[in-house]
Amino acid sequence: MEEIETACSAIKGDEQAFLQLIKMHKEALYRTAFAFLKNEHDAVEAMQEVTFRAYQKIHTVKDPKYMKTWLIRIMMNYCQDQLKKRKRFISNEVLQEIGFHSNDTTLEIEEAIASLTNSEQKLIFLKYFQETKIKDIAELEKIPEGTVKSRLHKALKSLRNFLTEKGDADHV
Amino acid sequence: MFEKEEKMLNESKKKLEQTEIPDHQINDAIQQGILKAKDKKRKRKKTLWTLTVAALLILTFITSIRVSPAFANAVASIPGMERFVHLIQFDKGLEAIIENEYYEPIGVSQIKDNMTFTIDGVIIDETGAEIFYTLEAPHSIKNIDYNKIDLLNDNRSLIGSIGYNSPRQEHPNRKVDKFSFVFVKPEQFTSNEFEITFQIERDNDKITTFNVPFTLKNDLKNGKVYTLNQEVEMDGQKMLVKDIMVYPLRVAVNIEFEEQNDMEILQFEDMRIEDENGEVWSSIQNGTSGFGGVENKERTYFLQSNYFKEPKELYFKFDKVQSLPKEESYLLVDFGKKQVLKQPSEGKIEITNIHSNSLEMKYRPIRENHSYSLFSQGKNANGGVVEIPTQSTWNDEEYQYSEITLDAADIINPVKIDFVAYPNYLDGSVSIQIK
Repeated sequence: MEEIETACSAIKGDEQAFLQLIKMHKEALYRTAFAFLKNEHDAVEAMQEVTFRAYQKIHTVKDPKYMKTWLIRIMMNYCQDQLKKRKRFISNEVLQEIGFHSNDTTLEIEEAIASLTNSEQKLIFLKYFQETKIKDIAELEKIPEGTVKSRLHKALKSLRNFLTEKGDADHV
Repeated sequence: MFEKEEKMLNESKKKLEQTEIPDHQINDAIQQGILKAKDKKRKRKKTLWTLTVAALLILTFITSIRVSPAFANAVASIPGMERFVHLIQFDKGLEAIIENEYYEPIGVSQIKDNMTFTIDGVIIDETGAEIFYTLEAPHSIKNIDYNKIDLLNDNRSLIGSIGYNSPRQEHPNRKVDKFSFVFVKPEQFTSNEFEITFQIERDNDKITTFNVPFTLKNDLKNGKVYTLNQEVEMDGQKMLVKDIMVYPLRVAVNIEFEEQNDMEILQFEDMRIEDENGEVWSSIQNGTSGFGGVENKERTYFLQSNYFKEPKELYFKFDKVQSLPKEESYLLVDFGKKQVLKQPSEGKIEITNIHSNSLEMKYRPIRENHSYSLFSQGKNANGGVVEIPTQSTWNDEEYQYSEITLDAADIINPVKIDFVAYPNYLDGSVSIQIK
């Protein structure tokens, strides 16, 4: 309830409410940045940029109920832009670094997610990492729930294909 | 169907949830993001020495709206006036102006770059001007900024503070608001010819300049001046109430503070005038509430106007006066060591956190439905000014929390930050008969 009220005030231009709102969601936002960018420095920088973008655009939010998802989407868009810019630098080096800290399963799935299209990545992230309801995604994207489900299905299928091929390759 | 993939996703999510959160760095990044955004929008507020920040309109405040029948009738008799009611009804003086027909309908329009600016009506006196306007366009104007707003009389700029709201627009293509000018000194106009000029900056950085002349038909009402020069003492602190001037838009009270006082006088929470029936006119709630900061020996305070009343007796009163001993009415902070070196011994505001260029604090709420900025600016070790571009405050049921962010570029430790508000009070009360 309080969250919605804060969101409403922030939409109307209340700066304190805006700050409160960002602080309320900062962990989710940071984790999103980290999931995409995979390092602390870039994720912190993303926090600044996303705060900046959100401040400028918050008055365009129509339904305060979806504030968190709206913020997460800005973050995901920003991160994907950044990844595009530095794509050529992502090499085995970075992957190995992550691999060093993580077990195989999570690395594999991260690679698989990275192989998806941008919009599929966002969908998977919202559904499985943010636990956003299909219904909410549908309303936010202004598409029928059925469409969200079929896109999700397609994305999961791509994940499976990637994992299977990778698995096969590893066993050769 | 995709159990395996979903399980993997879930594990990945769990791992993500264990990521460490660099809290300080994130908070700093958020502050920087807000500063950056505000920097882009700065020009929004240009005020000369405005004393306190406009009061917060809180829900309880809105539910207590009372509209007198006389006011309702007056509003109904002016075409289009109902759109402006929300801008008027928190000020008894403005309501009385409408009831007494001192509001002058103008109805002059100008079209520039497809945008139509209409002056619906004005209220002008020697202390300021309220320009009620409507701005319309065939596209959304939710996101515009005003620049270089000025009011001219006979081509002479009337210098003062300028305020305007960013009201929630009911229609994206229409803004209904007012520009509020408060002149630094009472103005003597040389004719009835006025002109308002300003620029509109849109999203695409396109700038449109309006300059709209208008002529006043009504005679200007002059102020009633009560010269008092009466010295009052409260809790051993001496103040000289020099004069009280009553104008249609506001009552201006000039007070001089004795330099030998050992207490710094901060905010007057309940300064007011009262008539013989106990009717009260209190501070301006939503607008410029005075001129002259805590550092000024002489300050001007604005109260809601009772110009159109003819009271038999009139009293000037105040009871709740915030103050601190002069030698400790500030914070001395070393942002490098993240230490508070000095603070008021009253200890009613607790510093809860220090970051590289910001401070967080908590305290019991100072005044119901009202929030104060606690500081105006800081001073660095070299005596240079340290701007405080962001002050934010929020509350839970028990406490009020504030966070201030200083301009990092100005910080040379230690930084001295004077209080302009603090929940510590003088004992006693003051009442002067003006009439």
